[in-house]
Amino acid sequence: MDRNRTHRHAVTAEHQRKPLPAYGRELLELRRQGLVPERGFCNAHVIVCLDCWDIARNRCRLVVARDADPLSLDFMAVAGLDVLVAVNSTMSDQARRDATVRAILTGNPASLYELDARAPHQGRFIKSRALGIELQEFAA
Amino acid sequence: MTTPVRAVRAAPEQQQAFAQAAGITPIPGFTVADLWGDYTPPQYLVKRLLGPGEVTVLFGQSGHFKSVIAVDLALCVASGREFHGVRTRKAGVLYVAGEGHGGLRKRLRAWLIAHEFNAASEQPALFVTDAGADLLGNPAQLRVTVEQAAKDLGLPIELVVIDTLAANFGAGDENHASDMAAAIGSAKRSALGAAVLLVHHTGHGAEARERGSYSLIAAADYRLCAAYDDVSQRVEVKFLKVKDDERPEPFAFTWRRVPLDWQDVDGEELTSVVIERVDASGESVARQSLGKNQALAYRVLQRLYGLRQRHEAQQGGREEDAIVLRGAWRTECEKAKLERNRFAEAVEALIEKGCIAVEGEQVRPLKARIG
Repeated sequence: MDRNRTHRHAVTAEHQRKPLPAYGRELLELRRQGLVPERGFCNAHVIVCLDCWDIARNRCRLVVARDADPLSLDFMAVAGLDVLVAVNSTMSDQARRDATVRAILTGNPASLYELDARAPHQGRFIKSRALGIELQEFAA
Repeated sequence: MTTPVRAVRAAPEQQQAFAQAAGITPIPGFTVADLWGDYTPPQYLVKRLLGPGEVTVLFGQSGHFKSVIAVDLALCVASGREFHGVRTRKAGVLYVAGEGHGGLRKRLRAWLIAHEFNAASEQPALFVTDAGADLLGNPAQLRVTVEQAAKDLGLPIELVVIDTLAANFGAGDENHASDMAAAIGSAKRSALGAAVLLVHHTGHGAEARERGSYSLIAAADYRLCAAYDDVSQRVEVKFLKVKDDERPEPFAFTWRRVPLDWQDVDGEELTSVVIERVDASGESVARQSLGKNQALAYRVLQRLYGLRQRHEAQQGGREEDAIVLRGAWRTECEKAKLERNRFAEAVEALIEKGCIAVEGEQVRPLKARIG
């Protein structure tokens, strides 16, 4: 008899959730243990990398792969954390960048800052601890 | 996160935000102060024996009446009748028969006839399967069966009888703790909150406990052991474990054959057995099943019979030769305010229930035959 059968039944409900972004499982495991990543670049707990695997390799990061729809991913692991989303305006169009921001906001981070690798001085404060959602297009 | 991430303990607001996002809810509980509020007594199916979501194991050797007791209990719940003096609450019952389907039909019919049911009566809310379940391999099938049975009966299923655990176990090893735990868990989950009665065999060389893994004993809320004594021809049911309550005294049962009004292929009448609970002296404890007039007539007869027995003994005769004349019994009943036509009805009922023996004008009570 297959002794893993019962375990498979037990995790079925979890499988019905949205898929996690790359490296999401490791972060989720940390959160379940009551832990959060140490703060790093820009004082963020987590860096979400859009369409790019080459940055923040030694940090806590989540990667939205080029072939993934950001809105189909589950970002619940970032709830209550300060998040930096790293984008590259030459690689990802505005609609995809905005979709990624909306997807991360569904996970209810404490704050969210978007940093464009091609224009590092023109980052956007999407959500802050003090004011909540700062850009009207992402409100509700 | 290609290298391990250094982590720190989450702040309370971070943990709270994650719990909310992940749909994690606290384990429900209560404080001691809540104990002074209103109390809602838990529901039961059979008082102090079966309750919603609870597991009861009834075990015994082969041929020791455990299935007869399970059928009796299932039908008592399905019809809302007392289980031999113990209150029940009427509910839908699913009987998952893994073996002995022919015999089961006869036992069911015997119980119905013995309890004066007929085709025109309101029938007990019982659904019986024609095949066994596969608790380990196909728990979803049992769940679907529970739902279908509830639909057919028009009543939620609140008791699932698994007869026997071995015949419904599936491809696993009942001596293996994880397989046994998986089978019990599967039965509980598939029962959708109903009580589960597991009928099981005794262990090899250990008649005082169930066969297989100890996890069955640990998982059971109630454990009942049925043992038949050939000499006294009684079945004794001992309560080995009763959750949150003291263990009752053992129940003793006698049995009797009931003609089924069915013939076999040779035209011979078929019979099956029903059980009747008796106390230590062999007297029935199921008085509740006698009507008011029947109980009165029976008490009067017992008193007269006792007087006649003492008289015989004083005269140097044998107590068993004592007889009561029907006329004297009727006169005493009339003195006890039982009308003559009601007396005649009560006598007929007592004869039919096997409570008294009548030979011409002579009558005597049958102690163990009240049902």
